[in-house]
This record gives sequence, C-alpha cells and structure tokens, in this order.
Amino acid sequence: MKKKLISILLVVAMAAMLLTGCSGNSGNQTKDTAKAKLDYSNIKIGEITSLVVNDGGWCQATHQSLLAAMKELGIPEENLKVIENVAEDQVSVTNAYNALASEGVNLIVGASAGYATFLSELAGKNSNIIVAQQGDQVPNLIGYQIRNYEGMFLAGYACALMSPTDTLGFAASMSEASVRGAINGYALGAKYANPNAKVKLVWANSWYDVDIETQSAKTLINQGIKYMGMEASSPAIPQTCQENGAYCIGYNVDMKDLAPKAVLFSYMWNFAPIYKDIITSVVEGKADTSKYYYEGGECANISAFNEAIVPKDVQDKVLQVKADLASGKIKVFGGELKDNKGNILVPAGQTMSDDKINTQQFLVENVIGSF
Amino acid sequence: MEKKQTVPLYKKILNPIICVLLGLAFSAIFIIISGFDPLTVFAKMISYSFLNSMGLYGSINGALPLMFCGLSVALAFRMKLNNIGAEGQFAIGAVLGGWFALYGPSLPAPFGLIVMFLLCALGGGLWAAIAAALKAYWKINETIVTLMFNYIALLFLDYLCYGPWMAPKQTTAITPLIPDSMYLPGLGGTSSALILAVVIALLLQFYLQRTTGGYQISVIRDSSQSATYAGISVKRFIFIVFILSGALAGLAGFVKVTGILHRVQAQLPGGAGYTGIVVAYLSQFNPLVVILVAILFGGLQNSCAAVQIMGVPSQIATMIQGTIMIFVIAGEFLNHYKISFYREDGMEVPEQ
Repeated sequence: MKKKLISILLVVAMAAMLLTGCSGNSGNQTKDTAKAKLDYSNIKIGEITSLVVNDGGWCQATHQSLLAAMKELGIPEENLKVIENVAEDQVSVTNAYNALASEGVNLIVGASAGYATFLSELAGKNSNIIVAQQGDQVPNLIGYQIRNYEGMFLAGYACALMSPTDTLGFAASMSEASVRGAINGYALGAKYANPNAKVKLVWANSWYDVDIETQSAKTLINQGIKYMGMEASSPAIPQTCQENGAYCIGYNVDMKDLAPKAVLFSYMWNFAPIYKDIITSVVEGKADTSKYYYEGGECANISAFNEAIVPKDVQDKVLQVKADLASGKIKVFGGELKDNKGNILVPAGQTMSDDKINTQQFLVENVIGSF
Repeated sequence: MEKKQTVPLYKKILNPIICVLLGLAFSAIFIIISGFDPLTVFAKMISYSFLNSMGLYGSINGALPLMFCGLSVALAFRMKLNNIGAEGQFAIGAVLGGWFALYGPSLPAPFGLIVMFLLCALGGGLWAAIAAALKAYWKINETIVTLMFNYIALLFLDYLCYGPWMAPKQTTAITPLIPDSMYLPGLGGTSSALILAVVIALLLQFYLQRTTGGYQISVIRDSSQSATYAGISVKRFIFIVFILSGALAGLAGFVKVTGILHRVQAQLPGGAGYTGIVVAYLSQFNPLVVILVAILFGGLQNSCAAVQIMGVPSQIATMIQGTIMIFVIAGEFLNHYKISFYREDGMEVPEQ
C-alpha cells in the first residue's frame, strides 16, 4: 500500500512539473546573440555528428573541413561546439539542436544525411540560427552536397586502367542517393577506361561495420576481383585488400597509411570551400537560404597518388580526366545512359538534371547488383 | 549465492538511490581525469534534462517509447516469460499502423487515431503470438524466438522505408508525413501519449493486482505445476500475456509515429525494445514505476548533448549513462541475493 502511495505521489509530482513547464516559455531559449554585432571572432558554430569526429571516416572528413574553413576565416577553434554520437532519430536530433540553441550558436552544421528530415523541421523554429545540412530546402536551412560521383569517376577510371580483368568490385554501405551516386560514378569511370568493364556491387547495409566490410571485401576478392572501389567508413576494406594482394581506392580521408600496399589513392570529401562560403554569409548577415550548394571539382577531391603502386602513366591519365571533368569535356551523367534493367535514363545528346542526379534511384548499365 | 526470501520496502526504495549515487561517484573519477568538475557536470545533466521545460519535454519524448516497451517487458516477466522481442513488436506495430496512416482511408479525426491504435496493438500482439504458440505447443524457448523475430521485423520495416514507402526526393529511409488528423494532440512540448501511457500503466496495475487473471498470472509465475494442478490453463495464459505484452510494444510504435515523429522511419525502434528490458527490471516490473524510470532514462540519454557542450568528451558522457545503469542493476541483484561464505568444513560463516 505504502509503495503504491509513493508511486502515485511521484506521478502527481511529475504531472505538476509538466504543467508548470507548459506555462513557462516553451520552445526556443536562444540567447540574444543576433543583436550583438557578429564577426569572425564571436560567431558560434555548432556541429552534430553521428559518430565521433576522429572516426577515420565521414565524420572526420566533415569535421576537418569545418576546422579548415574556420582557420582560413580566423575563427578561434573554441567557437565550435560539437555534439557527437547523435542518432539519426527525431528525439536525439531535436535534443542536440536545442542544446546548441541554448548555447547561442549562429550556425549549426548537420554532418549526416540522416538528419535532413529532422533538421529541416527544426530549422524553422529559430530565425537566429542558420542550419547547414545536406537535404531539403526550407527556411533557415542552406543545403549542400558534393558531386562525389566526379571523384568516384576517377576512382573507377584508375581501377579499370590497372585491372587485368574486366570485372571490378565496389563495396557500398547503405542504399542512399549519394551512395548510389558514388557507385554509378565509379562504374561510369571504369567504362570510360574500358568499355567492357563491369562492377560487382556488395552492400554492408551499415554505415560503419568492420566485420561486414571485411566480408564485403573478401566476397569480392574470392570472386577473383583485384581492384575495388568503396563507399564504406572503416579501415576494414583497405586492410583486407592488403592481406589478400588486392587493391582499392580509399574513402573519406587519405587511407594510404592504413594499407600502403593496397590503397592506390583516396577519394576525400572536402567541404571546406562550401563551409567557408556559408560561414561568411552568416557573419555578413547575408545567408541565402534559398541557395543550394552542389559542388564538384576540389570538393570531390582525391588524395595524392600512392607512388609505389600507381604507375606514372596511370597518374597522368587520371589527372587528364580530372581536368576534363572540371572543364566540362566529360559529363558523367551524359547520354546515352542506360540503367542495369535496360531502361534509357538519358537519351543521346542530353545530360541528366542536377535534381535527378542528386536523388538518383538507379544503377547504371555496367553495375552487377541491385539496391 | 542464495536468494533472499523477502526484501523490506525501505531497502527496495533506498537501494536504487544509493546505487545511482555510487554510479555517479564512480563516473566522477573519470570526469576528474578528463579535467572537469564532476559536480558541475552532474548539475548540468540534471538542470538540462529535468529542471527546464524544454529539457523535460525532450526527456519525456525520449521516454515515451521506453514506457510502452518497459510495460510490455514488465507484463511478460510477471509470468516469467522472457519477451526480448519488444523491439520487433514495436516495429510490426508501426508497420501495420503506419500502413493505415499513410495509405488507409481517411476517417474523421478521432476514429482514424482509434483504428491506428488498434492496428498497432494488433500488429505487436500478433507478432508476439507466434512466439506464444511455439512456446505453448512445442515448448520452444521464447527468448531465442522473440530475439530472432526482432531481426525479421526490423528488416521488413527497413525494406518498406527504403523501398515502397520512401518519401519522394528524400535521401534517407523515411516515409512522407502522416495526415494531420492522425497526430496525437500535443501536451506542452510533449505529446498526450504521456497520458495514454499513465492510463495504460494504471490499467495494467489494476489487472495484475485486482483481477483473477492477474492473480492466476502470479500463481503461474511461482509454479506452473501448481497452477496446472489448480486448474489454470497455463497455455491460455502464455497466449494472453504474450499477446498483451506484444500489443503494448506495438503501441510504442503508435506513440512514436503519431505523437513524436509523424512519419515511419527505418530502424524506428532504435533500441527502445532492449532498453525497455532494463527499464522493466529497474522498476521491479511495477507498471507505474516503469513510467518514472523511463523518464529518468530519457533524461539520462538527453543529458549526453548538454554534457558534451561543456566540453566533456562524448565517450565520457555515454560512460556516465552506462555506469549508472550497471550500478543500479548490480544493486538490484544484491538486493535479492546475498553472498554467503562457507568454511571448508561446510559450516556457514555467520554474517556480521
């Protein structure tokens, strides 16, 4: 009986707290930062990441880009507040957003595509805070994305030049538009080097899983594949390649040191130019939230070549293709382009729209696999 | 190791509190090592998660699915049924209810919600009924079955969210918004699902303590043989308890979709089904206490962000959560068991 009484009392107490909460100032608790003159010394930036910022992968690439942009603009590092390990879930993202808002940040960078839906909903709550996030276009939110398929085109091109067979591999993480973009970019690059090149695709169905990624690499190697691309975050694939005499293109950050005998070069996300532009616009009070950054070139960067294993002529050819991509001579998603079910995606003489590229739901003709 | 026959009430209440304090003291060592003042960190955790409306709402929103999963597990464990499947029942509840919300006929405001409520409960209940049938007729271990069924349910949910249900132009596995008429009314910054949770907890408490069914469940828990001898159909109760338990977990899907997210998402349960097991244990399977413990857990998860803003590394922030959990679970164990030392000649050493 006593126990029950205590339970009831506690429930009543909770209810009372809740009701007092209702009458209080619910919603935003932002400090009045907008009124003070914003400059590069006092702008506060928040970053939300799905793993830790030194994960050796995606989060590290994002974080380093942000730090590089801040350094270039002379923003002290302590002006960056990072919340790590935030799940791609509405409650967790809201909580991180609120925590940063209560710190009075002026800009929040969402470092995972999985936050798009939630940050798009939250961005409207608070006109003092600009959100930079890959994804939707809504008030207070600046969208950005990198044309990763350009860097991946170079990856596929290099692998196909070096591979003794026509079949290459690709180890992918989760089926998401930019990941499909990476696979397609790789396959089209391979085809550019060798019209008969085919790409066998394996999925990990996880953004980061050492065991499954090891299995992905082994599956490909066991089928006689020597060269593979990857869109996976852990060091597992380069290391498995090295152990088995296979080769791969690193991903996210320069992975050469992880597997010096296997990594030809790495695809590296470089968000720094985009972040620099966004931060500048926030400081100057000119943030244009109708803008959507969709950048290639230096943003879809590749690391220096691994001189020990990439022949000089391959290096030269890759750099030539890189220049041709930048000049527009090569259009990755130019017609005629078919998917691997035989449908024509782009007729000859035309190019796919950015909108379609950015939300792609297909795999190109020479990809063996599905999503 | 012996099981204690009875545990006095004051110990039941005092024990978790002491354990939380011990857990905090233990974490304090690591906080000091990482160069922060533990008291400031703890004060920030509490003030952020509970002492302001925004934080409290966040904690409750985080807790809502935990409440239903906790109730689900608590009910099953009352009959010593190990329902590890709340995660999957949650997912299937969300699939069935979500299907109705997204593609079903639109009904006038309260009816749509009522149908969805029933479908979520039905989804979770039917999913659990499979494990119940295997247990009742072939004595197949329910722990394994419910655990394995979680993977099937979650992969099916993922398939829908990555495939046919995925919102157009979205880059992630999430469906479009459900119609406005299917939103549960808000309650301050949280959802009226909280009231639903409290009402269901009260009903469950009443059922377990004041009805014949509840009494029969406790008889089966103590000895299923005596129950059979007394003419209670154990098989029937395996079905009743499993289906009710699954229905409660399915309702976690209802509150998450209609009260918080307003969409269906891949990996929707996000581990709430498993955290629900811990919540149920810590509440000693008491439905009303489940509600409170769930809110504490929601707050604990919530405080992670606030602690990181102070500069405390995220690993330490997560560790504080884990430490408190382990200390409370260990404390619970020692509350019910005592360690006795025996001399080599077999004589028990008297306790000091």
